[in-house]
Amino acid sequence: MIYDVNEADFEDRVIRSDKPVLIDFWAPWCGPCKALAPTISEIAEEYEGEMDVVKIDIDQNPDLAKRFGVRGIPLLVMMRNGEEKARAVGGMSRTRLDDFISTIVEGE
Amino acid sequence: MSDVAFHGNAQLKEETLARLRKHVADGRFFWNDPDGYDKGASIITCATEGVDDPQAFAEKLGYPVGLAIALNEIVNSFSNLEELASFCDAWLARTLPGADLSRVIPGTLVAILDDEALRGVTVGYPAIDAAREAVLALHRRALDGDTVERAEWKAARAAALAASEGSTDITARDVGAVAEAAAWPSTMRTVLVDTIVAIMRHDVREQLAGIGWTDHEGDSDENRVLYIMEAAHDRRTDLDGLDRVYAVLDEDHPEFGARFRVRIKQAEFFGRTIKKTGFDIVERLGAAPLGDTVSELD
Repeated sequence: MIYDVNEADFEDRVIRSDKPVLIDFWAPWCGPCKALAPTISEIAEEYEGEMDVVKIDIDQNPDLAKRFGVRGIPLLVMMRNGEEKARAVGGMSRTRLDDFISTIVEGE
Repeated sequence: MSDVAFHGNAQLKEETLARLRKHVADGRFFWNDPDGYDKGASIITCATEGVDDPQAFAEKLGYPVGLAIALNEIVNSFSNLEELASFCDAWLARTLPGADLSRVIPGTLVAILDDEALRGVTVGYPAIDAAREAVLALHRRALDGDTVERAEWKAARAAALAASEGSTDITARDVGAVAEAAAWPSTMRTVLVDTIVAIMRHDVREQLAGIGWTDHEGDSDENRVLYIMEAAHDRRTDLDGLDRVYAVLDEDHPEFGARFRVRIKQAEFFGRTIKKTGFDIVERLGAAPLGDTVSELD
């Protein structure tokens, strides 16, 4: 399941989540973000129940973009127990995205 | 989604084919949606009558959605519109209403991974060749009806990644990327298109290398063209597009310009591997057996 998250529900959905969370910072005008979207969708299915995936539109949520120091998109951030564990900028293959995620999801 | 071609409905097939043929005959058939069904159609929008979405194509016609997504990519490998129209016609015409299409994607992935040309390259990189064989073996097992566990796919992916990342050789990383892309169950929507794109990247790089043209990062020939044109931003503004690039190169870098012309000509051949895969898929569509919902006549 992929949730659209904003500044109002970020704390609940992400910081207080009992599961790891993959944050996808994107914008409607971002071509690489759209290209990555099907991969994100399939990764969400692959990790259903183990990880949540949230999308944050940086145009609609400038404070969150600033909080995370977003300089380029797509920006993927892995969160666990309310803390950032890893980030990656730009498109990537499903396999590399899976590798990026699994070390956090399967870790302590 | 049923993966039963045309949901067993012969009339649906005939109507779709008729719409495609009319668009072609009227000169209103294009590679991609021309921004409105009133202006013309692609293979996708022909089928859906205006919805430019492979998922809608798959749902309407009973093709696996991964095939529809791959079709959308395959069409871009054709440089000749007439040839593309013929291919799209064959895609629909060869598919029997009621055929069980569930094995077309896994069969295609096996064919790609087992391809002689690909093997001929990976054999030079033992770890990558082993990764390719491991992924191929998993897809063969799945095609045979075995359940391949999630952990097995994960292990195959990890091996493919490790093999690629262990090499600084561009060719190794390119063919390693094919094994990486394919190391997922064939039921995932974008596995086939990702694998096809990975093969295409390798193919393009090989063809460019064959004419002595580099396109990877840094001081590549491809980037050199960009740098030259950036520096020449106010030059030859009397011309557009490629004509302008040729003019600037001819004036300032004539030898490089001559090589660039060869590179552009080579682009006509870039799609050959994807086209070959496309035609292989058409053969598999034609050979797909009728599903359980259809009784074959003696």
